[in-house]
Amino acid sequence: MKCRMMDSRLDAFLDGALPPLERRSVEAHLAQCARCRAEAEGLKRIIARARALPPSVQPPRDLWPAVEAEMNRAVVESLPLRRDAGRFAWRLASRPVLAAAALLLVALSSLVTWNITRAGRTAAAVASAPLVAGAATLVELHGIERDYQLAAADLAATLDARRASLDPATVAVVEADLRLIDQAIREARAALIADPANEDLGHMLSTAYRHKLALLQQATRL
Amino acid sequence: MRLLVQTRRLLSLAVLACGVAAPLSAQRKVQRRIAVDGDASIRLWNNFGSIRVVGWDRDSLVVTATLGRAAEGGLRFGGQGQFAKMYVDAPTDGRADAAAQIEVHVPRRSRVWVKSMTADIEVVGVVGAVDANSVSGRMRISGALRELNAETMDGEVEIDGTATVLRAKTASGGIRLRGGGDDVGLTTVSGALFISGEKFQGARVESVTGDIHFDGRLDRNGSFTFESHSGAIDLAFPPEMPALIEIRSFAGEIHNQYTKASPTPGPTGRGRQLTVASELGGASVSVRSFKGVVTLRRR
Repeated sequence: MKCRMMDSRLDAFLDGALPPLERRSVEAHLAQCARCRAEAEGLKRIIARARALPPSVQPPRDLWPAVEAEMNRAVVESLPLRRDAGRFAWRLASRPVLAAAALLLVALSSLVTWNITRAGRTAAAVASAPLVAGAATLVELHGIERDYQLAAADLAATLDARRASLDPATVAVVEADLRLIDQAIREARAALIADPANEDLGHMLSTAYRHKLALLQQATRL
Repeated sequence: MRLLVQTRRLLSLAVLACGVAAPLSAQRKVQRRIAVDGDASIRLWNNFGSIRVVGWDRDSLVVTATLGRAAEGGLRFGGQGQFAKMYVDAPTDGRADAAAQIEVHVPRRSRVWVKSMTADIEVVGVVGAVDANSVSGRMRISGALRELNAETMDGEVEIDGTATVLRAKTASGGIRLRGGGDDVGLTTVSGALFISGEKFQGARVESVTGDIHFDGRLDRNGSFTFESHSGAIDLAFPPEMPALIEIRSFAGEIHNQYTKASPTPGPTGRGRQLTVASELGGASVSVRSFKGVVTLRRR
């Protein structure tokens, strides 16, 4: 395994979610690569700190107002622009928003993966008491979804503010794909509630969230 | 004498006809050359029409543009040496004559950023890095690149060749990759993914509803993930390929035409799973589906 292939695998490795063969090849690489080892250690520390947080993890409150303010500012700034200049000027105005959203996407993605995986483990550990496991998962799921919905709603509002300057055909594509993703989220969510010990479902729900935020981000960059 | 008069009349009519017709089909051809470094960063932007980027063995950027009437005078250039840019400043109100056909020659090793709205994008012969973005234009990229990032909403992406790091993302456009890469990431919401080739060292392929088709060989030390919510996943591998293949589906069927093994119930009693392992280890392949059909077969 090479260094550049480690980026997408370290999270899953530290969560113990990698298949055996892949885990061994990551271990072999870490044994011989100081740089990746240092990165893994850094991630371990972040995860340890995250685990010390309360069960319902919320995004840092000192970060969110700034993100929100930037988004609001970008929307306000985009309004007076001429239609033919809007596309480019909006891009300039929204760079901080996109950076903040990207940061949030990464944070949320990690949080969702970690929290849901943890929820699955919690449920597995108390498999003999399914009602308790289900309740614990639901509480954590609710917290995760609230954070995700905040991020998605703000990106969607930003997109809405630009709707008039976008090609209707493009808006239709985005909306159709958002409906598909929402359907996938609903299905994965319902399945996870019914089968809370299933880590694959947690992963799929996390992936669907990631797809939605990524699509909204991609659309707001147009 | 009469013949001379008639000839003059015909010539006058021809000139007049050209004068009338010219504005209707007016297209201005422009050529511009900029000296740039062999590994320069180059930004290109043409919203409508087409843009073709050709890598060549010279330290210069040459733009040949045919501009529609509304785009006339809108060709802009900047920079030289380590950085250069070209863009077409044309109205974005959907006028047909805002289109421009652009061909740009760039040094092979350059880093190229190219963007369009509906313009088709083609890149050939670049070995450096390419970052291509379009709203709905079609993309065709070929060659052996160091890095490739291709992103579109509903345009089709077609890649012929390899990239050390390769990323392609669409909303509803399809992605077709023939070739390979060390680290490949392909993502779509509802487009179809067709992947084939012999040179894959690692890949992550994801869709929400789009079908995934893979027909190729995986590096024995590589790690590969195929994931879809409801799209079909069809994987064709060479017989006896060294690999550990783990397939899990929550509500979809798993068809195994690769070995004689049958799917079993999932780890929590729901869904299906199938594991195919060769004796000598090999590539690690993880397949996840929520409700799409997964088919594993021999090439």
